[in-house]
Amino acid sequence: VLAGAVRAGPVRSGTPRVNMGCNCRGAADRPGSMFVVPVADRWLLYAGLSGGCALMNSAAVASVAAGSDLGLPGLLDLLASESQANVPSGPSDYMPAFLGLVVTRQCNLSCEYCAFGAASSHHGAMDPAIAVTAIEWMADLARQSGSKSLNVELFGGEPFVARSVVDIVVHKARMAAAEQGLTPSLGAITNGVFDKDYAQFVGEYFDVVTLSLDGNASFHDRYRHYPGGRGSFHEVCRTARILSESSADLILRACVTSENVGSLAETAAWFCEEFRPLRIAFEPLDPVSIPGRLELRPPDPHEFAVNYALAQEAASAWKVEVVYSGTPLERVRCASCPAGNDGMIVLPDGSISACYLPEHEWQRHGLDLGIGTVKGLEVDIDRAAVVRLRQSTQERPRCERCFCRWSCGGGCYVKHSSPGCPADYDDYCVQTRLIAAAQLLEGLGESDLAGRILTNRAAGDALARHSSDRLQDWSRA
Amino acid sequence: MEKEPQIVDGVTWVVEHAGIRVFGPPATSVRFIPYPEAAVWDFVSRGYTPEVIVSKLRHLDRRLAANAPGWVASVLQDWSDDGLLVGGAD
Repeated sequence: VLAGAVRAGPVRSGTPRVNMGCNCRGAADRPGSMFVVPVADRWLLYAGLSGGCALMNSAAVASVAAGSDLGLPGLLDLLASESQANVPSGPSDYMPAFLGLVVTRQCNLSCEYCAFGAASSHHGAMDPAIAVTAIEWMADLARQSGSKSLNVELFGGEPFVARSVVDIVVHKARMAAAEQGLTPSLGAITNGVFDKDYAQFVGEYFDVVTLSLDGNASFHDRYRHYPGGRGSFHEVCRTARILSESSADLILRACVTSENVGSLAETAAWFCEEFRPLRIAFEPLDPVSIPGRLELRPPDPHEFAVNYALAQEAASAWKVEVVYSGTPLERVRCASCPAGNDGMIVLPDGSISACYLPEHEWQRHGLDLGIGTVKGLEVDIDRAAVVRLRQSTQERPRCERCFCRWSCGGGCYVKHSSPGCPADYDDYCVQTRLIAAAQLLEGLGESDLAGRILTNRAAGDALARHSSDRLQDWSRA
Repeated sequence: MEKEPQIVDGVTWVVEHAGIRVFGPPATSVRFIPYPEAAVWDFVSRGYTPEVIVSKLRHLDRRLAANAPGWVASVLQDWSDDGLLVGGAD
């Protein structure tokens, strides 16, 4: 029966780490958690919930699909662990993992690919009173739920152009945390375009700063510039250096296009040499077409996957982690974005959404992600809207047959996996599947095979476009 | 007193989650400033006028809202008396 080796990898240990607020309750049918994907002339068996995997030939897969453990201890353990693994269940009550504050939609840059509506935003900055009420409410909820931390994340636009609100948010979060016996954790996603003194302030008061830097000056200035066209590279690098010396964890985030995908390894190495990032995030460009802007294209998903792997290798010399939103294989999750995780994002006008994208983005996809309002001293959460959203974000036809179902979480709910989206894998799925499979193979010590699926287009395509990975569908494969 | 209080040269501080730890003067002296006073320290360190500080404190602590000007003036005076600030509220 066994014409080739069966190698079983370690099963994910301990309780699967799940974002607080993950609303997977009742979402899964257990038969859908064992997967098998083609890797060149062999197959990768993957236990989606427990994280174990094994490499085997087709005859062995057929035996496993028929209920055999082949009498192999490693495989026996893997199957046993998966049968005991629980589908993660979230709390029954509404408990966002963090409070998101879109303090303004305005921005001091005019990036080529930005679809956040900064240029057309008619709203000013958030009234500080809204932020104060939301923080007090969140701190109270965190204490009641037994959480040890108060997590607040700032979004924009560019959050640091709304400095008067940021002043209030920073200190109110610390005050509220101290009063409730919590540890404050402040995060922000920023373009880094501010002066040295302000960068010092950000480095002192924020715990995690995600800074956008799209590679070298040539790429960065072409994509991320001021409204007049002048590039922002110099200012962003200055900020990155100051943050590197601060107590804040620095995450450098680069948007990857068809133009800069070939230089990811070089970019990662340069980031590590020049700055001190905790992590480097590479995220492919969302397909956008903005009139009057450059016609930028997302990278080819195979090219992204292979260059991502090279970037990981380059950064490993500095022990810096390279990440991509689709492949955190170390944890189980049903959704990767706030919309599927009881998100609480307060917008500048005081409305509360489960998503930080501009309202028109989700409305364009026929979605209503509004879940409440902040008014005066009150936070009003529409519980029915929360329940409705929990249910609707579980319905992701595109994910049902995919072995990355429990790790990828389906990407952005609005742009990638909203109801009515095609069931076929798209480029996001393809690169996610390739990267995930390569990481699993690396974990099994099969580096050559990992390299083969990334560099051999036919092998990569066979894996990435495999119609159904579910072990239960094996007979039809 | 001058309008804008300033932190005396040689005084250093470290931002902590629950407040500010201030070193000096003299150099061997260490004190911890909790909230809400810690917010005032940050605002002073960034050159805000007492009027702006009062306005921000009104947002930060509703219990202080009515008496914010007097409270801020008192905090600044105490720090001046302790040799941490020069200048300050009228």
